[in-house]
This record gives sequence, structure tokens and C-alpha cells, in this order.
Amino acid sequence: MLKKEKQLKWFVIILLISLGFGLLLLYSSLDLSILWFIGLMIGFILQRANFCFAGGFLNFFLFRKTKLIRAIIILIGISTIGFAIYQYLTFNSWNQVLGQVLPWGLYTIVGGFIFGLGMSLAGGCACSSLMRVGEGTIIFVIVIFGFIIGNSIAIVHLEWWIDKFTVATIFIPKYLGWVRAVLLQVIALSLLYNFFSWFEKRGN
Amino acid sequence: MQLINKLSVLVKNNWSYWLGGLLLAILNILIFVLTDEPWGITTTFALIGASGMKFLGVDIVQWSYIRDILQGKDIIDYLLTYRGTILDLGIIIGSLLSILLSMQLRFRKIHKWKRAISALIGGILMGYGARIAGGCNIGAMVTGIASMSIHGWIFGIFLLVGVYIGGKYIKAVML
Amino acid sequence: MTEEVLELLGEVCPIPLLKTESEINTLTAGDRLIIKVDHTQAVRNIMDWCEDNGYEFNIDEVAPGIWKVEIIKL
Repeated sequence: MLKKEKQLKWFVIILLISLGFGLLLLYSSLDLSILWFIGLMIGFILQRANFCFAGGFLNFFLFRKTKLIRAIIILIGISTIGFAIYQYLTFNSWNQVLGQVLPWGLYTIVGGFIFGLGMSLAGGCACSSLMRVGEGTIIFVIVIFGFIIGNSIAIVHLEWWIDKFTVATIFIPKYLGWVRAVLLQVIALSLLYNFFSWFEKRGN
Repeated sequence: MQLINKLSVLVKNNWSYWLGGLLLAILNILIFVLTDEPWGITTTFALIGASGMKFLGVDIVQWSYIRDILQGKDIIDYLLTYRGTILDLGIIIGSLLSILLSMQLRFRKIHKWKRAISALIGGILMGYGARIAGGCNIGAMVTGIASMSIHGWIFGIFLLVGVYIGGKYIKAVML
Repeated sequence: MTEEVLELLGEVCPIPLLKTESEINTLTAGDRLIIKVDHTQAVRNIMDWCEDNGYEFNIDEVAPGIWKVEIIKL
């Protein structure tokens, strides 16, 4: 157990080492240095705001509280707008769109379901597991260990899943046009947001 | 008395959820714009797992997933300078910095073995689900939806179904 | 006026709030529920929950990262 004064001292030490490490990374690549500093900020924000997807979803299902799930919607909604602009600006062809555009199939459904199940059992998601380890909640090291094992098993099966069950890759703007696609998504997310606001008020 | 209590704890530590969401969105966009690739967390875990398998003598380049990523490079070399490794490590250290600042760092020991088993199984399920779907809550749900790809929405919907059922189970069993 | 103690060190979400909820239902007005938690999200959830339900509470960080929350059922 670290005493309070010592913790502030360690804060400064680790901060300085982190800054130094980030600058060192510049020798390797600009991208890596940027990602390190952004990673530091993400971790800081996740811990400070206690931002956890598992917590947000479980708060809704078990306790009828929707503040965190609404914050997640804000995260997704604003990201959508930023992503769409960049995707549009860098557009080359429908096959080369930047971003996380992947095929869907039975594995998307099964994967999502299993992931959700795992989130409840572990008490955290991917990013919050990292955050919790940083907080000192050691049990999440076990979660990450499980993550690695699960990933390894999945790699063995992956080709089978993709070959047998892929349906299509659907990039929404390709079918609806850029403006309609963004509008549709933002409106859908706003409706969800309003639903959750109403849901929480109704509870009281 | 109550308000002061809560305020003192809050001021020391907690930012509001929506602020967190907003800031994370900005950082998410920055990662995408500055490095041309969106934020993802779990590929690093897959590569660590593959390193382990290689160490155990498994031929990991038999799988196209690994082949495509490594493109002939040695996996340990790749992992050490991989963007995901740096990002994930940064998140851990960033979180550490935050809790040191509010002086609440504590090595929270594991008290019940049942909890540890639940954590392990939860992690394995998440790891498997994320890999076959192409990402975790961040990599598939957040960036998938933000990239306007249908797979993100589908993943997200069934993730919620999974959490709903998982939550019911937890409540019933009271681990 | 009874006092119940819930030792929840090492527990992660959503267990602390679930146990708090079920425990508070077994108490009568004037009773106290003392909860010991060390999970940062759990503390926040419990405080919010007390406010929403109108319970009076005192919170004390007895050691770095360990909180003792005393809830008084009115």
C-alpha cells in the first residue's frame, strides 16, 4: 500500500519517464510516438472518468442507470462524424476506404454475443481491462491473460469462420451516399440517446 | 455533509461520463486521422498469443491472419514496434498516472478464487469473440460503427444481448 | 438500530451495488449499512445510487484506494 505522499512523487517520476519514452520513440517513427502520447491520454481519461463499457451496459440492464451508456453513444456519434469526414477526404475507391470496414457473417453475431457474455463475467471490457491494470486492480491481469488465450484459439478457427460464413462487406455510404449515410447513423444514435434519457427519467 | 463528502471524492477523481465520451471521441478521431488506421486493442493480444504458440513450436504462419500481418517479419520484432503494443501500454501507464494523481493506487488483491475463475473465463470468451468478429468493443463496435460498416452495428447489437444474459446470470449467481 | 457490515474488498462491478441493494432491503429505518470497497467504479455507483434513493451516507477513504461507505436507511 503506497502512502499518499509517495504516490504523488511516483506520479512525477513516471510522468517524466513517459514523456522521455515518447520522445525516444520519435527516433523509431512519428506514428509510434503519437500513439504513445494518445495512449497515455486515453488511459488517463478512462481512469479519471471511470469509463467502462461493461459498467455502462450492466448499469443499464441491472440498475436502470443510463448515464454511462449515453456517454458511449456520444463517443460513437462524434467519432462517426470525424471518421466520415476523413474517409470522404481520403476516398479512392469503394474497396480502399480507410477505417474499420470489415465483412460480416455468423461470426459477427456469435462473436458479439460471446464477447458480451465475457464482459459480464469479467466485469470489464477490453479497454477498461487495461485501465484497471493501471489502477492496480490485479485481477484484470487474469482477464487479459484470458483474452490472449481466447484470441489464440480463435486464430486457429478464424479461416474456417471467414470462409464458411461471410455474408458481405457493407460500407453504408456506398449504398446510401455519404450524406444520407451519416445522417441516418447520427439520427439513429440520437434516437437511442433520447430513449436512454427517457428511460432513466421514467425510473424516477 | 453529504454533498461535501461526495464533492471531495469527485474533485479528487471523477470526471463526468459524457466528458469522458467526448474526449475519447476526439482522441479516437485523432488516431484515425494521424495514423490512417483506427483505434484497436485486441490485435496486440492476438500477436502475443501467437508468439506464445510459436514458442511452443507451433507453425504460426500456416494461418493467413498471421501471415498477412507479419509479411515475413519475425513476430517478436514486429510486436515490439507494433502500434497496438505501444497504444495498449500507453493506456495502462496513462491510467496509472491518473490514479497516482488522485493518490488511490492500491494493489487490489484477489480475494476469492471464484472471482478469478470468472475473470479468466470472461477473458477467454472476450478474446475468442473479438477475434472472430474482427475486434472488441472498441475495435469492432466503436470504430466499426464510426466507420459506417454494417459489421459494427451487428456486433454491437449482439454484444448487448450477451451482456443482458450475462448480467442475468451474474445477478442470479451473485459471484 | 442494527449495523450491518459488507466486506466487498476485491469485488468488481456489478457485485458491490447488487449486494448493497439486496442488503439494504433487509434493514429497517434507522439501521446502518457499512460497506468496504476498493473498486473505484463501485464507490461511484454506490454514491450515485444513495443519492437517487435518498439515503444519507458518509464516505471515508480509510487507506489509499479503500473506501468505507456508511449508509443510513431513513
